[in-house]
Amino acid sequence: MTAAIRALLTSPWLALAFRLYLGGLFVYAAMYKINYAAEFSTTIASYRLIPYWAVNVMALVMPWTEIICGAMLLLGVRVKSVTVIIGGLLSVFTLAIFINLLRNAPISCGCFHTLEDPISWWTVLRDLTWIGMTVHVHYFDSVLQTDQLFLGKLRRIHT
Amino acid sequence: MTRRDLLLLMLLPAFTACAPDRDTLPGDYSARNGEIEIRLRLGKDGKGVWSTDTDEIPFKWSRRDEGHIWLHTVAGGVIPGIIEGEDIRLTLPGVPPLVFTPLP
Repeated sequence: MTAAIRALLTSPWLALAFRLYLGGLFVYAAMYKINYAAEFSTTIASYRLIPYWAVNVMALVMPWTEIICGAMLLLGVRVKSVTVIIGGLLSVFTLAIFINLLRNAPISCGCFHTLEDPISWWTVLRDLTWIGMTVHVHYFDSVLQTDQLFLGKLRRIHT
Repeated sequence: MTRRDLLLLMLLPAFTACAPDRDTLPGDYSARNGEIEIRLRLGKDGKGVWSTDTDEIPFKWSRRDEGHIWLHTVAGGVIPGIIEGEDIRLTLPGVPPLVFTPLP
């Protein structure tokens, strides 16, 4: 029983499911922010955590980081590296939401769209779940990694 | 399954994030706020113009789901609206709700 649960929890197929879910999630989340960068900058500013001169830069850089990382997860390219970046992003988001919850700031998350429900402890829990998925993908993903197909070819050519 | 099929299968989740269609809403609308007539033009390309006798404000618009529309201002503001049949109801702070009816 325990062995079966362990096998399930360490399954590369579960990691693949998490990887595709997270990849789709990040691509979806980034698309709105890229289309409406000005709105995203106001969302970032509403968190009151970064200096004003960095707000617009973050509003431009972060969505592109998200969409590139999401696409790389979907394609299975450099998965370990990408999960480190995505894990870092999610940790920053979670910390920012956590701090604003302690402040009782009546702001929306802005994770997907500009007009959303206000942040809550459920938002933190959701982000922590995604961090858990990211960690799982980092350690157990080994199925359908596109870069391995090409790297394998290169190794065969080299030898 | 070929390698190309595999890549397409892996890209499918990304396609689910495509924008909803805007084909039924584009056109010219009008609403009154007291003496002032406000005109709203929704273009097929997702761009629009809010105009009065004195102002003309460009914006982008998107249909969020069945029955909801958002107007995105250049400055980063969002004006949410409700689609009621052929009319569009917009609620702005400090102003009574504006009901925009299609112009013939």
